[in-house]
Amino acid sequence: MKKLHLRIQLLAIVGAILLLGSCNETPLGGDFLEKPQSSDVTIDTIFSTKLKAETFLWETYNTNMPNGFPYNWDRYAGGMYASMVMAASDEGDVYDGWPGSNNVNAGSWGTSYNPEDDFGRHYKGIRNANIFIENVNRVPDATSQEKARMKAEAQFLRALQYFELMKRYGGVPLVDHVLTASGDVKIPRSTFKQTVDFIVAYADSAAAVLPNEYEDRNKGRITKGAALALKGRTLLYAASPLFNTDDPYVSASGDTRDLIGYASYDKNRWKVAADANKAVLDWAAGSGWAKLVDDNQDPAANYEEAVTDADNSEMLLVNQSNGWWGAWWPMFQQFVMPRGMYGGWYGMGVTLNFTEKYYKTDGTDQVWNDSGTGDEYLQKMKEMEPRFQASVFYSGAKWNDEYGVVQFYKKSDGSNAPHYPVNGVGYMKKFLTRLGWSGGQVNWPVFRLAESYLNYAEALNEYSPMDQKAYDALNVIRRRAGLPDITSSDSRYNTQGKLRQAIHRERAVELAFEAHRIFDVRRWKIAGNEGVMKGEMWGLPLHQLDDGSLMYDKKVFESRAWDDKMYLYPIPQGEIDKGYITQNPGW
Amino acid sequence: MMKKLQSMLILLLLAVIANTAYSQQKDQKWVWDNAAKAGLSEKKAVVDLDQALDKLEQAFGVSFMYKSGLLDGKFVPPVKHVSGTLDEAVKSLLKPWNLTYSQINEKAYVIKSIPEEARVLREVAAPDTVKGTITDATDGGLLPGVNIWVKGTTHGTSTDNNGKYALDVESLQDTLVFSYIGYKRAEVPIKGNTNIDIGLTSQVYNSEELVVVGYGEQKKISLTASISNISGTELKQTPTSNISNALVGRLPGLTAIQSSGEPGYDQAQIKIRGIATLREGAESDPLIVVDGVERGFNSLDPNEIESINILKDAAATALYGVRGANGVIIVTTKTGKVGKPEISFSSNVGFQSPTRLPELVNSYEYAMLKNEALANEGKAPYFSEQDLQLYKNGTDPYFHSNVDWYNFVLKPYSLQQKHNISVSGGTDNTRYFIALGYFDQDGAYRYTNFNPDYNANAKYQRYNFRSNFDLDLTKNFTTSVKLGGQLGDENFPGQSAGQIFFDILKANPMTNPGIMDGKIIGSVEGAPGGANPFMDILTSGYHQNFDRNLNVNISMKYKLNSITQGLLVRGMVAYDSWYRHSVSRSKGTTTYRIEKDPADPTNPIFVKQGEDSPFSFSEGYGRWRKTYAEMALQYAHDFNKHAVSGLVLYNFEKRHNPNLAYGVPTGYLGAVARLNYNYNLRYFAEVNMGYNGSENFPKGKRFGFFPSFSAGWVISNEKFFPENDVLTFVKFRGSYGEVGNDRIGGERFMYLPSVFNYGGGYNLGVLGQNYQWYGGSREGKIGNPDVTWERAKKTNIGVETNFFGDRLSINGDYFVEKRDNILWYLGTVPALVQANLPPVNIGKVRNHGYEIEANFNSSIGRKFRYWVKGNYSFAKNEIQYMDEPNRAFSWLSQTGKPVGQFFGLTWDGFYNTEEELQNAPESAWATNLQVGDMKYKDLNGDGVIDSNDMGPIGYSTFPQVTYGFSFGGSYKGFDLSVLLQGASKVSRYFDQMAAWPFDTDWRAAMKTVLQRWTPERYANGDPISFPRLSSSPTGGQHNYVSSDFWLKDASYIRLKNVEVGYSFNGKLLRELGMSQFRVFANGVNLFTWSHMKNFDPEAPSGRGQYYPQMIVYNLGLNVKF
Repeated sequence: MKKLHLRIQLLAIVGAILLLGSCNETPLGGDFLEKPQSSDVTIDTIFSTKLKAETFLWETYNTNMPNGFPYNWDRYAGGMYASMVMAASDEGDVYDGWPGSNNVNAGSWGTSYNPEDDFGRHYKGIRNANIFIENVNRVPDATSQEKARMKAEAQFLRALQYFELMKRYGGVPLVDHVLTASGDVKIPRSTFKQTVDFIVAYADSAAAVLPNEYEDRNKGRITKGAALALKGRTLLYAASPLFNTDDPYVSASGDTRDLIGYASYDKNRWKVAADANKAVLDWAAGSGWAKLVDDNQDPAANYEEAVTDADNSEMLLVNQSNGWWGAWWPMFQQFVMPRGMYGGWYGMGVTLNFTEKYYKTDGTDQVWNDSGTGDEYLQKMKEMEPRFQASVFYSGAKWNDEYGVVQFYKKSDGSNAPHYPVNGVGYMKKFLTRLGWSGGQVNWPVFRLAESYLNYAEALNEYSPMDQKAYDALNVIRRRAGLPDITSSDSRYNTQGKLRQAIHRERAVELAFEAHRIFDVRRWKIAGNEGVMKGEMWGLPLHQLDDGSLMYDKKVFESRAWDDKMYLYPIPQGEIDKGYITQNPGW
Repeated sequence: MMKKLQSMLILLLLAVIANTAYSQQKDQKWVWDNAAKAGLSEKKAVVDLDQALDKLEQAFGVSFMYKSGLLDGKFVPPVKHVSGTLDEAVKSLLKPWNLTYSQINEKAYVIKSIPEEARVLREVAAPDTVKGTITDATDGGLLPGVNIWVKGTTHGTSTDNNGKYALDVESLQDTLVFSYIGYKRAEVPIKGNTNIDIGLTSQVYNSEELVVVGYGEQKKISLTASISNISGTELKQTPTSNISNALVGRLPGLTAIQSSGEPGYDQAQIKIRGIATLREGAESDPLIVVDGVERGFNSLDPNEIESINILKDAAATALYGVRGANGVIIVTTKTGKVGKPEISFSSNVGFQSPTRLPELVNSYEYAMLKNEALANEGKAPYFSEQDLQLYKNGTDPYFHSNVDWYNFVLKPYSLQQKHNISVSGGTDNTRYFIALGYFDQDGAYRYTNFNPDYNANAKYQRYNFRSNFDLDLTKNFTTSVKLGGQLGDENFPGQSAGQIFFDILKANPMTNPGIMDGKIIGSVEGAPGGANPFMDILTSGYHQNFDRNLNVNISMKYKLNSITQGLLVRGMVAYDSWYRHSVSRSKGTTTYRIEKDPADPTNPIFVKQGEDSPFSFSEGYGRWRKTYAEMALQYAHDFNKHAVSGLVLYNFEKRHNPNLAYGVPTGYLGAVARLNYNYNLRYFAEVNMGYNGSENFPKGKRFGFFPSFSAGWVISNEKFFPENDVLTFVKFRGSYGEVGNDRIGGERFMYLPSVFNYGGGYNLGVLGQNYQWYGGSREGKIGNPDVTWERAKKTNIGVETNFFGDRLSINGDYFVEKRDNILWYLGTVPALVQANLPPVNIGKVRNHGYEIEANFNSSIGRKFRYWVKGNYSFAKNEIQYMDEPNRAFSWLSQTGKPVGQFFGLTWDGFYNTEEELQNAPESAWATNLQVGDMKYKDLNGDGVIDSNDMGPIGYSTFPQVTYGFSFGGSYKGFDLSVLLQGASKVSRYFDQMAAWPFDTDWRAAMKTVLQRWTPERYANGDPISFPRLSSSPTGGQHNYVSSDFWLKDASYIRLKNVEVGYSFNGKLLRELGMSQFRVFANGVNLFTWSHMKNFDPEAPSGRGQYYPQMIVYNLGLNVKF
């Protein structure tokens, strides 16, 4: 009996000791709750070598590069929710009711929801740029030249992001350092002027450091030309009537007035803008590579290549964050392809309002009747200029060899033919021509040289009315598009105002669907005009008669809402509530 | 502090070693082992008479003298209490043995036999023997070990393993008292009968009843904490696959929401006393402890479970320290009882059927409504008259199909079955409980074996096993081994249930005929919409999980009476291991597109799309393992009228899971202390202390100290309390304490400095040549060096009352909880910062409520017994602080409102006339309001309906009120029990295709939209419950913007459970060796009353993409040998 007790007690003791000091994870050791070593990456790791620091630069590119193509279900990663920005201006429309562009068209957007933009998201890219700028000098194995160049890239990207903010909101908080939660983070808005100056200053400094071009493997990084183009575009906006005016779009005074534009009109801003854009053209001429695409016989082919080939001599900067648009992911084709083609759900319709901005091949205007036969419809469509042929897909046109000629119309029995219905005259074709069942590569153009010609022409005509150089610049674009030149002797173009209209129209057509129009009509202060951002939008739907023939009708498909406060976007209410930032007037 | 604690424990260990050595010499004194714990008031303990007298010597400081051998073989029979004065106590001990005593001086007594002649008289007067069998009145099971004595004496016996007893009585006019732990005491006048069989009813209250508390158990009378419990017997009445669903409605203070009926995934989300933190997810879930170790309990078989207790207030949960703030659920598995082996077999077969599914419109209605919607927008009709006609008469099943997708995809009934066998019993030093269970639940999908190669239907099969052994190695050393395991085999379609149900509502009735001529139809030319929801099940292969879960507890207990009476040391090591093997197989399946023959558009041509392909295969693994250990020192002793007990416990846990962040294990470490005191079963006091740490917090902030204080007063045990038969028991109790919560929703190791990670990137290079992706890096989360646990300060006041001799009990609790340090995101940091800022401990929530519970047990005559129970719980919380920006209007802020409060516009009818429209406030979501549009309240009166008018609407997802009402009874062999359960002050928000017709143009429409607004319907005075139709509703449109119109009152009352049983009795049964043969039928969710028309009231908010809750109809039998 005694022995048993002894044994059991020994057992209990041994057990208890084992329990308390069990295996390698002894709770008696002070480190029981300490996190074991694992592979932690900190900011020191990232900036410890050039190779790792570059990874952060690539992500800085990724988060700052504008993207006009809708990306997956992400409301703000590109375009607007399940649609493109073009569908929220007089350029186009989406037939289905739910994509985000409809909210803009219906006027149902504002301080709590804006499908086109997420104010805070801009500052993510800016934060990344700031982190890079503040740390790149720590990288031990990069030369000072390399560091300066990479820093300039980050500074450019930050400036680009501020431009994206400026064109939407006016003056914005200028965050030029990495913010921490505990520091002073309630940074108020800078004035419009300060914001423009900030962008221009960093575009200048980047242009001074960045190279004209990169070796092949680095193609896609920011060049001097892109920096100059950013400066040119920024100054053009700054000189435009929305901002450069004695008479703001809504009454505003004092500090608010300074947030939404300059205090008064200054004609010299047009000169500064013209010079900045001229600098881009001069740079391009000397760069050895940047030039408009004009190698093909067919002007339509030139234009198609210029806007679709992700990698052509006209692209000063494109968004290369995308490697390949799969046909089914990231939803791009479903959102933008014409209904029923390559997975397209509804397609981007092109309005008649916008179609009328295109010329006929001979440089004159097309006239549409209220109604007409299918043959007449097709005849008139075929008379349209090459850029129209490359940008708009109408019933009776050929998409490609696979689809051949496609008709879309309402059948005589009331049902829909394939690919029907669409709002407008047809579908947007621009950007999409090289996509198929396996997807395709198309990169969003951020700066295209053609824009700089148009910027230059516009600014110059405002500063120096009907300057011959303005006609010349405009004609460079028209000639590439297969259109006849315009001259100051032509009564259609023989005043500053007429030339201005021609430049505006040329810009609309040349830069169609590239997310310029929605901001151009704002900076020109014409967004509130009937048929622009407001009022009736027209289409030319076809229907089949009992005998099988087709008829078109000029028809209003939608009436749109506009309020002048919309010239600038509202700061989200959630930010206003935090009490550090001033709302734009009217909101 | 930890170092100190460790050295203390080592010292204690040394003391144990020293004392066991010492006890070797005084071996003969090891007589007080069980008495030390049980004391003389423990009924079940049979104590030798000399030991009992020794105890009295100690207690009163006297000595007893007697002739050697006089007390040999004599013992203290089971009695209710030996208490009172010394004289009374000694008398009651000696009387049954014909002994008497006399006092010879102040401290000494002499014990001697009663003279012979006196004894003879007694023997003559006691010639009769009463015999009988004692059973459980509810299930007829035999009860061994029931104490029986003659009322007013200590003369008694107890039942044998077959529940039989025989007792000599002095007079057949005496009254017998039957008493058994957990059962209501019965007093039966003998009235001349010599055979008295009775059934004891389990009872709500018994002064000796033990209740499981944190790290131990306690007598119910001495509880000062708020604890509710349920027995395994009640759990078994609900034939659900998992335990959480069986708890619903039965425990006051427990709220459960079952948001899916999918086999294997239908467990309910449980909250105790609502939510007191800022998150409604796992962060506010209670801690679940099975046999002392944190474990899931859902896959346990109810047959394995002895009891489930929920610990609610700080007095009950402080011991769990940083883990106890959300309440604790303690599950105790069964152990064997001394007796011959009892084999119990039960078998159940049931059918499941969805509780509620939306009724969808048919194709004709759909087309008509769609045209109406287009007309409302001034658009041309999409469907021609001919289309409408074809939909109506159904003559063109190819191009004008009409499918009710719910009916098509789901079977009306699916099978489930459950079988269980258990063996339990024990000898004097070994007790065992062994159980095996099998559960099999089929999914509701139809046509899942369309492809002969595989079956994609959901299926959940579970094998449970358990073997719990208790071994008494010596009188003082006991050990127990508990082994539990579950094997789960699951089969699912390759697409998730969420996706399948999403696709059902994504489709419209005319999009596709589903299956036509034995072919799966992928698409149909000209049909709007397109996806065939059925293809998700039929063409995406199947997925299987094979889960293996093993739980092991090994514990030992050593009594240290040699050091001092009532001291014991115990330890436990537990090891849990979980492993999952997942297999996915998919196979391309041929589908067909129906196209129109150009020559004859009514003639369908089936165009083959894709080919059957061989199976593809992929597999994956998941696993974790956990080690838990605890070591405790316990003490319990009665000093005359003072009873003291205490506990010191040390525990730690490590959990390894390769999928955890950083791939490193989680750890806990802690210590627990408890001190109880009670005076004469009248005054009770208890102090609990939890001191523990979590690896998620930085050094210096890892450990927290959580004390609680509680007290109770049994006023009915006071002398001044009048003896009466109406109010028989009254106890007041109160507690205050602090408890922590470390499940705070953040990532792991938030205290570490900011991290970066590799991700993102950019393409560089020339397209077609060297265009390639260069990986990026990103700033990750920012560290919060001060992160710590949430702290709950809980106050509880309770009262327990019994009426009419304990037949009716009514208990109530009121509680207030203030929680602070809630981990929450800074809400006022400008978006300019754009860092992944860590949450910080800033939130504050107040939660308060009450629970009332009433039980009534009675009988009419001896055969008909019945009981009625009810419970009602209310809990409401309020956010007190969450760093919210100053909103323009008070109703916009979440602060001051309950957690999870829904916000939106307040619906105020429809615009019925043009005149009403004239005076309508502007809408931020519409430029032209039309008749039939929704009217909303302009909360700020600025003449514009916009987001500034979005105030609080309805309640939140978790009900503020839950209640249960049950009753039942037995008559002869029949028994019945019924449970009604309900919830109120609860809301759900439905939108998109769960509420709107034509979502994204072509999604489903429900029959409820037929009551839409149209000028005609308005003019006719028809019921209108839906705005004018839109052809493509989106949340940005006036009628579809967030409002309480889409918020549904999710209150409900359910006939949750009914069970009817019959136990056969009779000779045959006994000849077959059976002690019980019972057949029963029961069901779950049998009927639901609620305001929600389209979905079950427990459906999750959103767009209806969930597997529906099920009604279960079940038949079963239970046999015991």
